[in-house]
Amino acid sequence: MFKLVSGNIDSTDPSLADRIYSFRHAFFVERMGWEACRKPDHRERDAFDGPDSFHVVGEQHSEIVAYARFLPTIRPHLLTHLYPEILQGAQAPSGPRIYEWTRQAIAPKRQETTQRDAFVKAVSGAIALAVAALDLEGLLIQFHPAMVARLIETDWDVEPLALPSMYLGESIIPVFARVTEQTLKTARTAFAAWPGSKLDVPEDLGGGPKTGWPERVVQ
Amino acid sequence: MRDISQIAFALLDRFRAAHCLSDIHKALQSYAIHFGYDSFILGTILWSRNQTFQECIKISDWPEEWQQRYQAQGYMRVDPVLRHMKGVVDPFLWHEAAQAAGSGDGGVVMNEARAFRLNEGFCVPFHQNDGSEAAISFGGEHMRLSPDEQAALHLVAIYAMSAVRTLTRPPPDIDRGPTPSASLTAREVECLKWSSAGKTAWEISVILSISRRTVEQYLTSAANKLQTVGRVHCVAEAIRRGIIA
Repeated sequence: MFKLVSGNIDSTDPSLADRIYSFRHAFFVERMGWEACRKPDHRERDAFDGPDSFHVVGEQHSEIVAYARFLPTIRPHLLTHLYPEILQGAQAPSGPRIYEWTRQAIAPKRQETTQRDAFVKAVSGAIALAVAALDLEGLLIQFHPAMVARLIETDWDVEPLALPSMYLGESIIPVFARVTEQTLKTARTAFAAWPGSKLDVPEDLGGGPKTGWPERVVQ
Repeated sequence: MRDISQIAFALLDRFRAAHCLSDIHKALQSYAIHFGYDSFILGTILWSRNQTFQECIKISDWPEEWQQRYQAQGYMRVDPVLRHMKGVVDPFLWHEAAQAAGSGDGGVVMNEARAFRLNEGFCVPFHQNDGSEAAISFGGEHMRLSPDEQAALHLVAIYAMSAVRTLTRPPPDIDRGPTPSASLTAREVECLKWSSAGKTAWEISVILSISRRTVEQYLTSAANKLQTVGRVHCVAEAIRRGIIA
């Protein structure tokens, strides 16, 4: 149901890459109205995408229903190169084991069902398990302050880096989110409540911090 | 002089260290001077359950008399702040809600609040996945919040609410069937505290200026929510869960 794939799928699995960028265009440009990201070929891919990033993809019946992108913080990322002012002078952590969680999306049809809450928790669980699989210290996230409460509810350890501020007319706050034992327990409970949930972590992760892992499935 | 973000982060540390709702209440009280509020209230509303005002409150620093008046007059139904919060995700000042409401029943609530020196205020709404709504409202006689102070108080509210949720949610217990929400109201917690201190229902009714029957109803309701039988068991369970110290 969920897969963690490295950014070099552009060359190793172009068909999946194409489906990901197509999903992103439909979600972020068509649905969320991010006109600055519109592309003539309807594939939303930006300058930050590359072989060193990761994608977390949730699929049902071969259709992408959930997505997230992890950008390495040892390269330009949103917080350093798009809106550093939202840090209001504070320092954000960075390093080879810290990634930036961006482009979080859940397909509209998964948002409208009565099991929305259970699915959203399963997605949060998949992200937490991906963090554990990659052995990360944590994730940088910039989002609406209302999302802080949602993350804390799924037992992430969320540290604010600055006060909420405005960016392009919307409220935004930068945080550093860590995964703890409790986050993982909650993730597994969420997976248990959403039948068929598992996170595929492939053998060859390419440009990530670890290489040569045996193929495994995290449940 | 510390800047407002450092002050907010220090308060967040207090919430992290909280063992019970009272710790959160005291932390909010001790930082009032930095933000200029005199009073605050924190509650969760399940509109579909037709809750009374008292049933919604988790933490309250409001003057007792104003709480009783608000409850007795059914102000939850007409309060422009509660109406306004249904439609917004961002925090707002009370006067913005009053302006949005225009003239009408809501004006009475705002005017009466002034009698208790709650002239101005700031409300932070929360919309939950389960359909419930929650809010923290800060009020005072002279509350003037700069944009930075509003942002700081917004952050404080988010972490206060999360801490309250964590402290009052039932522990996961897969052996039992679906458990009813153990979210005790502020009044139920208060009665439990006095009970744990050895007070009888009659003594608690005198202390809180409510009827003895009402005290017994609060204690019974708390016992049901904690799935306990009897006063002693209920108090013990409340202590075990960190609801009372």
